[in-house]
Amino acid sequence: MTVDLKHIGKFINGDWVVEDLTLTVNSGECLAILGPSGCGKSTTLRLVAGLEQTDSGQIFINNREVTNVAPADRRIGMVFQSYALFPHLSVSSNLKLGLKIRGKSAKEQVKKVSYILSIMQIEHLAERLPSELSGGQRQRVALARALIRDPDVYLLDEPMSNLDAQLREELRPELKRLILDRDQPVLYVTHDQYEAMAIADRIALLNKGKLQQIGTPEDLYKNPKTIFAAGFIGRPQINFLPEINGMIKAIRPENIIFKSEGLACKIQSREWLGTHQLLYLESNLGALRILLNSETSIPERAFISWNKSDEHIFSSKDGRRIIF
Amino acid sequence: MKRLNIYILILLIWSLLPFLWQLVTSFSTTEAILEPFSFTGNHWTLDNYSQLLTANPPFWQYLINSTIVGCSSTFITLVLAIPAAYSLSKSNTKTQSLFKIIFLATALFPYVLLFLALLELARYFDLGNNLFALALPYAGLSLPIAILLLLSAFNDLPKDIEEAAKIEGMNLVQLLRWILIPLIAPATASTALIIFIFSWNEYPIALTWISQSDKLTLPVAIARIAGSSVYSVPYGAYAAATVLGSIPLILLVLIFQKGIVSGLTQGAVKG
Repeated sequence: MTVDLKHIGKFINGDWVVEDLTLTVNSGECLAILGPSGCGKSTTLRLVAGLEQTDSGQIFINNREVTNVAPADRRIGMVFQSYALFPHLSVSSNLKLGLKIRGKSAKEQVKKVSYILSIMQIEHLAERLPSELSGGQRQRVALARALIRDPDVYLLDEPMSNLDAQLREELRPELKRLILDRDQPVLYVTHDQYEAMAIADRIALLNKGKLQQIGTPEDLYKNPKTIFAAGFIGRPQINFLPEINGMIKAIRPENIIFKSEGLACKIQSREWLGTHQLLYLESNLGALRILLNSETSIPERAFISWNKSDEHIFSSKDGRRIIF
Repeated sequence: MKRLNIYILILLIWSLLPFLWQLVTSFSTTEAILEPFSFTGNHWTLDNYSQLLTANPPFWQYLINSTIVGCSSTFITLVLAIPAAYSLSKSNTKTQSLFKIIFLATALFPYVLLFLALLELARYFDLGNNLFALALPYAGLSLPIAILLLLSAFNDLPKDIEEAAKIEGMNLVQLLRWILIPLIAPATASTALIIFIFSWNEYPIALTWISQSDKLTLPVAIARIAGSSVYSVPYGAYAAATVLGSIPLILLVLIFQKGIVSGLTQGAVKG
């Protein structure tokens, strides 16, 4: 089972919200679509779902072209950011309704619903209305509704952005167990790079409707192909050094070390982060961030240095990585 | 808090006192009505009611007539207004605001100006003395306000819910049947009530379209009570008719009150 997007585009109000996007999600793979707000990631998902029509390109699910197929016939399971549960129906009716629409017998409906409720561990909520559930419980019901559909592809639109950090951490392994470990490809839209790195096999990074880079989380982190990718992935943010000869060098805060000699710096401020400390420095090359182990003692007169091999070098013209 | 209670009490007296007056009057003898503070002689009587109910046709006939007209006009209006409002909610803001202005202008139009033209239509199409036909102009006059109310209800529904339903495979009819109509039920209930009350109270069209005495609606029938005697105004019978005519409306409001007030979409989206 696969999803293929071939040169898809969406044009709204004189702008390409998604432009010439080509990517493949393989069987059993979770691809995170990551990017800042307004980068077109949700639109991409809605195009795959069929909730919006493409203005260019083709969409294939399981090698079947679905570009002009209605959402209902694309065999997709979608989880909305807002959950979008049917507010007037109980949890079990929420799950049953789709089965009923698709012509399943009453007996089969009951059987499937109780099975899904049990694997989601929400049997005790079966008769409650969505308004009587907590955020995490609503999230589970929304996942259950996508699961019970037994779709060819799962589309998750920021499924955890309405939950608090602790609940997100609790739900992540569960999401893996229930959906990500299945054969169906998963498209996971998020603006949170940590979530993308934690969950996805590969990440597609989008900016202003254009694909910046697609690859494993490690690949994106270690070999950012554009200035945008370098600046977006990794927290604290990468340091960009002043432009020289049409080249912009970048160095990650964790790659900088104190040395007995090197670039002289003044320490402006320090943030203690538990396992690490983040220092803000002022140097001839401008403001720099440096991430150190929290045990590291800070010298009085600071000199910093880094390995040449840790430098990322980009062209200032087109923002692309320069490979020597 | 105490002060607020006093204001509420004043408001209650202000709005309920006229009704209480009617109620008292309806159970009073003519002498008692004319001299409310003299306590000689017999004060209370059921005559006003028995007079109404034993008349030919009996008063409950008018109640039935008005109910028939009210229910049919409400039904016709909703059947037309729900799809109209839904399709308008799907169109762009420009189209929507244009139609909103048109409907608002129509809703505010003094319909009394129309009743002569309507009478001509009734004659031409032979719609006189037909309760179901009377529901047609009522539905027509109620449509603009009904569409406006239902449009805002549809616009308030979260878009995600409808999209989720589409992904579940619902076609338009299923979507309306299982999701949209249940979700706009509170707005539909209040809209229905407004239409029903309008047709319950409507006078000029009913007066001109209906002449057979057994087909009269309430307002016209009540007006005829006054014409029953040249020499006196039958206050008691009037009051009794008003009381009887109000009871169905009070019951309706009580029944639908819960549906109107409840926020059904609460908890649909977000945590």
